Amino acid sequence: MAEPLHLIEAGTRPTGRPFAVRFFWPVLGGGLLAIPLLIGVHIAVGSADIGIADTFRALFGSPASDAHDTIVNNLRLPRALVAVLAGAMLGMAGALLQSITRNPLAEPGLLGVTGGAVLAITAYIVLIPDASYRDAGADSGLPIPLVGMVGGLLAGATVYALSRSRTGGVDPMRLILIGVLVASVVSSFASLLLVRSGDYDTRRLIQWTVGSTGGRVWAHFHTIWPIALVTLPLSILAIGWANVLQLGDDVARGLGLRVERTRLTLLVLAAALTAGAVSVVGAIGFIGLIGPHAARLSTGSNLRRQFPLSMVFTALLLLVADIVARTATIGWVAAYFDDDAGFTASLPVGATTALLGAPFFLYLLLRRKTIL
Amino acid sequence: MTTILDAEATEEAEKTPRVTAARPRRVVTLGIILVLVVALVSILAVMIGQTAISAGEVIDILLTGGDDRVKNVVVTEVRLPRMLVGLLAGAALGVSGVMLQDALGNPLAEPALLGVSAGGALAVAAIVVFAVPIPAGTLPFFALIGGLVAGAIIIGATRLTSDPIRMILIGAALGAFFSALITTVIVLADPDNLRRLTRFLIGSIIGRDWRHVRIMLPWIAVGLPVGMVFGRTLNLLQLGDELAEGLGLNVVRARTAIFVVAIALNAAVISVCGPVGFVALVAPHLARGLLATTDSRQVLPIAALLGAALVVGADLLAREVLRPAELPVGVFTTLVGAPMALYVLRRIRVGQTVG
Amino acid sequence: MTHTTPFSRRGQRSAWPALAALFFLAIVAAACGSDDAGDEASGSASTATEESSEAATEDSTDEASQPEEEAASASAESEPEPEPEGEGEFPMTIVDSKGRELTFESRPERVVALWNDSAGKAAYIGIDIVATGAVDLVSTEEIYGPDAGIEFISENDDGPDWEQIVALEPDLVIAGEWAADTIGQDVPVYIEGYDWEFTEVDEFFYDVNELSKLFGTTEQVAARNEALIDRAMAYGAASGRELTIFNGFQNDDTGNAWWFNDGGISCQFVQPAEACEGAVDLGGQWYEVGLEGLLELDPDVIIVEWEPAYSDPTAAMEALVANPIGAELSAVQNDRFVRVEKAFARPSHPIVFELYLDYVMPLAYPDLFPQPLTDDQVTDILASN
Repeated sequence: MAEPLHLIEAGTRPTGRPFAVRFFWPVLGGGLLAIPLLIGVHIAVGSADIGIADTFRALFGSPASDAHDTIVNNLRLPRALVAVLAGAMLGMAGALLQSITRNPLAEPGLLGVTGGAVLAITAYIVLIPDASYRDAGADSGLPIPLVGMVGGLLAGATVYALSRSRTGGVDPMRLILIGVLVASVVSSFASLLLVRSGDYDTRRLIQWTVGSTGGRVWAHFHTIWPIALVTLPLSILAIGWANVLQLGDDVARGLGLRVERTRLTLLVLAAALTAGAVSVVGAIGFIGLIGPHAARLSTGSNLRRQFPLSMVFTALLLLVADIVARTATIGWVAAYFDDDAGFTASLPVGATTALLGAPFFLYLLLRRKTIL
Repeated sequence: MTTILDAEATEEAEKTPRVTAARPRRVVTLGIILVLVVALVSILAVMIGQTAISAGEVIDILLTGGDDRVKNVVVTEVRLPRMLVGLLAGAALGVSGVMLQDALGNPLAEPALLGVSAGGALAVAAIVVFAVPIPAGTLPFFALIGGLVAGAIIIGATRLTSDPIRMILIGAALGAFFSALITTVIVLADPDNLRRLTRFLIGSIIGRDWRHVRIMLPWIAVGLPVGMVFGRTLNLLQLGDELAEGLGLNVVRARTAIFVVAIALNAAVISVCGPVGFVALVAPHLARGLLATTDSRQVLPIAALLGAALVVGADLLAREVLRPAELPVGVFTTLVGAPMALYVLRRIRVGQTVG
Repeated sequence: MTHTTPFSRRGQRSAWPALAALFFLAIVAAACGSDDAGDEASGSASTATEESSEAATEDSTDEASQPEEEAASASAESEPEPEPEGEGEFPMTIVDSKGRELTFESRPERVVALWNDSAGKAAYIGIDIVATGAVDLVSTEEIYGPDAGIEFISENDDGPDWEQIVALEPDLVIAGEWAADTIGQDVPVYIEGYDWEFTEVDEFFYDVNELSKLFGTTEQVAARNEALIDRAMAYGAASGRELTIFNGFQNDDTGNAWWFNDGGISCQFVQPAEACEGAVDLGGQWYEVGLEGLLELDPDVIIVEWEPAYSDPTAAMEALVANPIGAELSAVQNDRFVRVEKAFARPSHPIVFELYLDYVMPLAYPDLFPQPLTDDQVTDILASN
């Protein structure tokens, strides 16, 4: 059984309290302030050439033209807001999972929820004719997120059922193994379906398998915010439990916590957070790992600090990654293919998070071997 | 390094937990049965097809060339090399699965889960999408290099940790990273290239001929016997790092060597067939289940036979169910192997490789 | 054991839920606020678009960029003569291929046609467009000339870049299903069908027929449809055989030749004349055909699709001819093993069919059609049948 994280950390970092412990409030406040600022930046960049002044004029109700109004308020703003919420949810899910499994390498994808959601969405788009069309512009009840949610939670339930021991408890280590296995199984099925898909669907599906905020509009925001509104505050309320659970099952039991039930509750929360985010933006990788990680590095293992910071950091990360994704149009590639003038493809944000996140992750692996 | 150990090993074995071997008779019986199964599947794979060719005719063609030119070509140029590619791939996957699982104490160690497959696929993706001018027929070598580079990164990043959970999480993260790179490349592709790539990512042995046999053969002819030699070392590693170290094994060196051999075997398969899913995961666990032991010396050959039978058998099904259309064999190994993997591994625990 | 457990000490952490709730309420409130604003704005935007479309030509001098202006003036010049009363009455409602009703207050002036099919269909019904997306089957330059000033819509990872489209202030977007997610974004989007079944004549011509109502070109389009059907029938009748066409897709990039059968798409043009039977449709893309499978299908014609930019099938084709199994194939024996540029092998709209018939039939049947059929020949053949 792995030691509780704070013990490991106490051993490895004897000197002083981390920066963000002493300056926790300023850090959190700064992070919260940075969100609207970055939303502003996010909205100000884009392919349509609207000046910054015109952008904000449109944002605050006096657009220079109808096109500006539509572009800023109906295309850019919802995308930024979806990114913030999805980031916050993934960050919280990652923080929850890392504390449940007592493993700093755990990430939301391990629950099988992500893969399940993507598989369900893939199956829906590939096997059901006109599926993409049915997703069109409805103000409520987008079918694809709904399908993704159901698929994600089903896969999560499978992981849970398979990792239950005979006594009814869930060993976190086993959960990780089963989670990885189920994730691999569902992603294999998804790639079978991907081959089966038509040319147009294939590109759409890549969006879901790698995660993207492209083309997310108000309908998507209206799908994600109610889930966030329920799950995020509940997760914050659960910090006390998670903190105790971190001390190890025996200690937690001694302190009067009903360990199995608590762990299940936290798992369900993490699954709901992940399913909610993934079914709207697809399987964005790495940020659910790195956001919480950055939070822990800066605050230590007290979850009261770590959870809120995870949420804010991850939201910021996704926003930044999305800004990069929107602006990086990979000019040299476009030049290479200049016979094919359609080639200014911007990256899906999921590819950006992985490309930016993976090196950071490797760096952490190599540098802090005791923490990771 | 195994020879030095003999004396102490027997002494130590008395008081330490050790891998109990299956009774030799059981191994031999199972081995004979599996050899017969592989032989049967292979012969069927050569006989069955658009024109059915009887076993007698097949032998006649192989020995004398036969009378019918078309049948001769069908057997020698189409079915035989394809069957051989299947055999080689299956055996290589089975053996490398055993090696990775035992060496890492990780029941899920498998090329796809460690990111090796994705590394090979990335190389192919980049070459196809950017239309990199490479000499015809050399693509498999680039896939091989991609797989080996991915393997090297994994070795570096994990430092071959003995913590299986850490290992698997790092593998998952690296797999995600390579997939993201592949996706990035794919995003730059036009839909036709997408189609090629998604096909490649499934794993297929349709239309493989002697060229492909020639590409794979050297790697596998070297890798398989070398893998078999590691049986004893693998047994020691199963005891855990400390015990193995105490028994005189240089754990890190042994693990690195095993890892390199296993990845080379995998990369050879990926380069010709693409990632054929779940064979490397399922065959070793099936072998352990059938033998009721985790003794690697016994598990290795049985897993090789099982892997070969799985791939050739699955390919036979894949090409016959919808004739004249054929399915990539990866579709079948995934459809069959994935649930099997879930079933076999439903009781896994950390640090335990038996299914 | 009566000491308080950590999770019951509410006082210590009471700040957090409050803070979190506050944060999210703030975000949600902000979002909903701007959402409402956006909705109102969008509502007014769409009405405004409709109203302003009549005045678009004058307004464009002020706002539109250079190319748009050109396009607008071009469209004004090439506007077909005024329609007879009764047909082109606005407001007009048309129904797209997905059954969605679109109502137009006036004739659309600024049309964006995304993708090959949309642009091809727009060209077929004879209208000008201000922008298009990826066009590789029929280049807009070929249709509209190099100086038409047609903007190019680039793709992002979600398909067409809607920002660019909205910035052009179009009053009609013709697009494929792929655009579906973003429909409703203040721009009327006509979703076209992807019908490759020429045999279903009504369905095949549905989009062009429906769209032509908007632009008052129904008669011209009907005549063009008629001529296309005649041409297809003539080719079919003149070929005079029951033909099987296998449409192969080959790829030697990975050292393997992969053969697909797309159900003999090429065949479908002459199918109404009962002159062709597509090789059995092998369905989805999981399937491949090996050499043996090819022998079992034994099609009369094998068409190899290729893309000049990516691959040259010559080597693979020569290998097949040299292979004893390949040599058994009737198509190889009769020299009907031809390669066709992919752009032409995947036609899905009428304008490509017109081109394709004259392109591929002489390729597949050099003995029967040394030259593409002339209009007179078409008339003669149909008359004699």
